[in-house]
Amino acid sequence: MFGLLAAVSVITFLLFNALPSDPAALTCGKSCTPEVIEKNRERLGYDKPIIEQYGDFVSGIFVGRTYGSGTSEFECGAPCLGYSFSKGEEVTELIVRALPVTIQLAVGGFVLWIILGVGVGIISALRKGKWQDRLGLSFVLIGTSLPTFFTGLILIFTFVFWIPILPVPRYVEFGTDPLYWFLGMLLPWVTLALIFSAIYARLTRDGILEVMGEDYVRTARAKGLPEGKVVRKHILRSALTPLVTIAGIDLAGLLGGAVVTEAVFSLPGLGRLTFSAISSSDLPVLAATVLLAAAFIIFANTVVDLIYAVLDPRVGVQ
Amino acid sequence: MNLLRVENLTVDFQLTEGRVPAVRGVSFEISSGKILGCVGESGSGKSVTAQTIMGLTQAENVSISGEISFMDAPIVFSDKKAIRRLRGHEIAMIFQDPLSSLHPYYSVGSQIAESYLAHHKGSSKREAMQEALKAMIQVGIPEAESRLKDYPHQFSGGMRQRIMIAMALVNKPKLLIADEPTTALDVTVQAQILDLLTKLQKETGMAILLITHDFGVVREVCDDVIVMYAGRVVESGSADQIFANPSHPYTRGLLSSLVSGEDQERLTPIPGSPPVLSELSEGCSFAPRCSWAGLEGMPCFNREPELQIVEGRAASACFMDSDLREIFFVEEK
Repeated sequence: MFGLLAAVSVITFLLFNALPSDPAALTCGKSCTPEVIEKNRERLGYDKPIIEQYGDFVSGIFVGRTYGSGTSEFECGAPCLGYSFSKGEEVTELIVRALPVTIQLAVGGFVLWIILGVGVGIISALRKGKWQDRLGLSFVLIGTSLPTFFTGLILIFTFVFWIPILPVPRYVEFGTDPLYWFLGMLLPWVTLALIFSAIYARLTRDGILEVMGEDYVRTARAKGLPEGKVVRKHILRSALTPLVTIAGIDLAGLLGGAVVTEAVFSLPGLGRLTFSAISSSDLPVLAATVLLAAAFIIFANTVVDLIYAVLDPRVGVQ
Repeated sequence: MNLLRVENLTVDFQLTEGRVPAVRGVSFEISSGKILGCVGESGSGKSVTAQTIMGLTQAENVSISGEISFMDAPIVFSDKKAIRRLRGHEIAMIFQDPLSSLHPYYSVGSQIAESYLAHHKGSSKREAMQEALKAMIQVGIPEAESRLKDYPHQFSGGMRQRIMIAMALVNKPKLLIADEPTTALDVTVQAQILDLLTKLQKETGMAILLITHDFGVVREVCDDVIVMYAGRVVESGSADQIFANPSHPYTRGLLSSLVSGEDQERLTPIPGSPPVLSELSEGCSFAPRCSWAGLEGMPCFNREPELQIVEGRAASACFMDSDLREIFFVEEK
């Protein structure tokens, strides 16, 4: 797990630092003169060999680092992920500010999509071929075909401007105004949940239908168990277990930043941070957000494997 | 006493490719304490018959007619509660592949206990586990107590089938339906499972409906036999009688394709293959594979023969006159 993380850090670092664009030239924008560029190059350590730069980057994460020397010297405390010139701030600070927003968005959306997706999937599978199933399948079709930015904008138009029951989307901290926070997060959650729950409804439905044909389900019926118990204990248990893997990794992926949803609803999360870093070629921020997103995925993979070993006794924990 | 009576059972599957008559007017009886063998090739309708008795074939695309009665009371398939009380309690069933028939996520002990609890509502989980343990000892699982919490994948094929049998026996059923219980097992293990089944049958006095395609298995354990072909019973009678003197050409064919220890002769296969059920024509469904069907005066291709008493309790569905039959059989040999 840590080896993988180290590998990812090397690759991201190389990718962003080996680009033909000069990172030092990107630090000053319009006020750039060759002198300023050289000065900044020295201050940010871009003049050093790339291996040394990587060493500084990694040690910065664990023990912090010092930029520049003399009067221009400044400290970047651990975990230091770099310094963003275009924002004039340490990358760590930017991330610490953006991450909670993304977590709120991702976790809320996650809860909603699991409930909605699995619920629709179960009903669809148990009423296969009936109107409930057809309704469920239409939901899946619509949910998967609508892009996030489109549903997001439609929802804003409908519930904020057309039937004004929700406030104009604007991020408010929970502590400041819990009600506004909730109402403001509602549409982003729904937008996020819609596409995912459609996919999960399909996965759940297919999973259940597959398990229904298993011999052990026939055994459960042959034992004389009531149908409800057959479904809950024997069908759902097997059908939903594989979803844990997918759900864990999807959640981790979102924690790395829900770029489109955050952009549509102007949520100052990791996704928007990444997005603005791309448009302003803010390499330190980009490298850090990419690394963080990769770390989430790697971590989630490990956690999911452990959970799966508990849920499925055939997968032993070594 | 007749424990189970099946009368004129018909099961049709409505599939996209057409109507498939899986079982066509099957009648038989099982007396308590007896082992009835049901023999036939794949697709002869034996498993469908068994699952219909358990109420497991019910679906929208299946139509069932005929009458099944258990202990002289007809089984009403629309009464789901009554069926459920019967299933696993009075009539238990074991299946062909014990690995896929056990739930991979639950320990064997809890799966057996679940079966007990389903029919002993007042019992605690602990009592149920005790019963599960007793059943596991009864079917000969070594060190049963320490294996109670093990999962199906930790057992060998034969042990898994023993677990299935334990699960079936935990409620002391009056009838055990064993659907090809040895087919998925090694030959040596097959014999052990058959021995176990006959031993348990003697101990508990239950009746067994043993479904198999293997006449060797039938010879070893069964009291009575029905032979099925293309969804119909073509021959029935006591096992001794059928082995000594088979009267239907299909039974005859099955027996001569059986490997016996002493006989070093070449096996005689039955020519052709079983009919496609959705494309059955008029007449005897075995006729296309039968050497008698072409004989002069035989109505084999025009109508289907009914099951008729040949001798004693033995019955056969063949137009051939019983005296001539003997002559032909001798000639063929």
